[in-house]
Amino acid sequence: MAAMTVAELQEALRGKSLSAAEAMKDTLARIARHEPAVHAFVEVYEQEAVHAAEICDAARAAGGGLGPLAGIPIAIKDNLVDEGHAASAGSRMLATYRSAYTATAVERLRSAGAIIVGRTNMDEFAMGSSTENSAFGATRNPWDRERVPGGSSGGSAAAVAAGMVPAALGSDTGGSIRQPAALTGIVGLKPTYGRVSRHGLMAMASSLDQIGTLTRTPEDAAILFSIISGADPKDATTLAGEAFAWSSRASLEGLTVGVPQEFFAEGMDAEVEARVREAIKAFEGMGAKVREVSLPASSHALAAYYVIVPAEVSSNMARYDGIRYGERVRAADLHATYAATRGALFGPEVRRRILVGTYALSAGYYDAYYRRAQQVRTLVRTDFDSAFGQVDLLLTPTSPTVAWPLGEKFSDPLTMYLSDVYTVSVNIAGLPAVSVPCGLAHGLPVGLQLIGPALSEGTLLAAAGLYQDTHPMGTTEPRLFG
Amino acid sequence: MKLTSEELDHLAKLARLDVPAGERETMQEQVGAIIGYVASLQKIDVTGVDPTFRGVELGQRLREDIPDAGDAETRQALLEAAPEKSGDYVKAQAALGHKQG
Repeated sequence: MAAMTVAELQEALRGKSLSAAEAMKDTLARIARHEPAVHAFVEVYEQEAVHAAEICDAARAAGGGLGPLAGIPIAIKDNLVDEGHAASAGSRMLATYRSAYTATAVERLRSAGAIIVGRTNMDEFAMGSSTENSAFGATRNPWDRERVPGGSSGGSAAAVAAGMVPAALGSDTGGSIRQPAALTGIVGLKPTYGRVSRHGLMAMASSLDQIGTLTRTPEDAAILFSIISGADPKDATTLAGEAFAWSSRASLEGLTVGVPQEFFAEGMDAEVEARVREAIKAFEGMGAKVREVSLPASSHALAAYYVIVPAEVSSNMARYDGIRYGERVRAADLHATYAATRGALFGPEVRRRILVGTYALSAGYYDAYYRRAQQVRTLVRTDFDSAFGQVDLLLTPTSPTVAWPLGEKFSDPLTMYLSDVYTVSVNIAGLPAVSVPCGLAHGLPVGLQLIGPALSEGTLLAAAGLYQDTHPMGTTEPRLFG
Repeated sequence: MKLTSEELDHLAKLARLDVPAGERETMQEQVGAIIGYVASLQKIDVTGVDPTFRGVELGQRLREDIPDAGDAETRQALLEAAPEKSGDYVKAQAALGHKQG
């Protein structure tokens, strides 16, 4: 059977044309077939998943009330904790760590009936754009196994793109859901800051981190988002506000779409730009009014991002000291043990960011770096505010290039950072955005990014959904190898 | 811009992070290059601009400070995560009396 979406599985399971056990058998067979070449997972919970599917079928047969995701297989990124399971965040530091509690987002999926099938590979502690910075080895792109899937949620993206699971959770601090979604030809949703509880998400940069979804359709993103979003007493940064509501649209009449000129500057692949321009035309064809807008501070967003993130990383990573959890490298005294543990068990990108962040926060440099970056953040936010005074949403490329060959940017951190240039400003301003496939360049997927004002996930997903439903470019299937 | 050997030592000490001898050169170059790149922020005029510290400003949120002892099972699982324990305690080396390096 063909890989099914969450919505299709819901219908088949409810209509009893498919049992949860059959769906799970198919999922596990797909994982067995593609995992050796893709390496999307760090661990698959095979027995537990089969058992959960049997329980789900028994409950359905008994006529019990089942949740909206009953029997649907979902994968989670390895930085989300799940009681009794290991959670390693792609790091040697947490190679044997097992969690004593469960992340709220995972708990909500399970309460809705979803079956968590495993944890997916990622850049260590979500630091990276290629999923090469993992202690468990690199994940491959299902479109070309010699290329990266993007990152840091590259395992989740590859698992969905290869049809191993219909949906996965990821986290997005500067593009870590949207960029791998773009590079593997699927849909990635980064919600408004505060809309999904981060209780149980290992913190990377707390003022930017947000949990979101990787799916094959905007409709599936909406289904999952409606379940994982909402206030949580265990995360004081969650927004109280109204619940998420979504309905599909038949046209984009009445919608004004902005195209920020700064996002079409130098450095973008010409074929990628051509696909994105075609998609913008398609939005016009669906009834939207298109106009150019300017976000002048966006050219400084990446520099501000690479101050804010390392500064918050240097503080968040302080908890990994070999005392309360994780591994330990014992040295002569306590302070030497901290330094030895951290030096030996963090990978190079984590150590680089800790050192840059320590520099930015150290005596004499705070005002010049951290405070200034936060002032630039205000400028970036203000730009978006004024743009959203004129338009309902913005259209941009998600990534300046298609997926690149493994190893190409690995030893050059600054070049790797530049791959986030179109995604970071969204996190800096706390906004929601979705990446949807808009065709191929050089035979590889290109992502279109839709950015909206705070709490506009419904509008974004409806627009992305209509685009995907009416344009064949909006759906792509990897030519799976072997 | 490349960090000097002394600058690297200073940052490594502040961060409690050993940098292996074989990596020092590369780290001095890469960390220096990143700091050089973000130094472009100095050129932006931010006169009179207030800083933004988080994605969405929520204001102060407080709750009653009620201790939650949790259950024995969770306490045990949390203790299990520590590399070294002694009874119901996480064990560390002495923090006082060590020589400040």
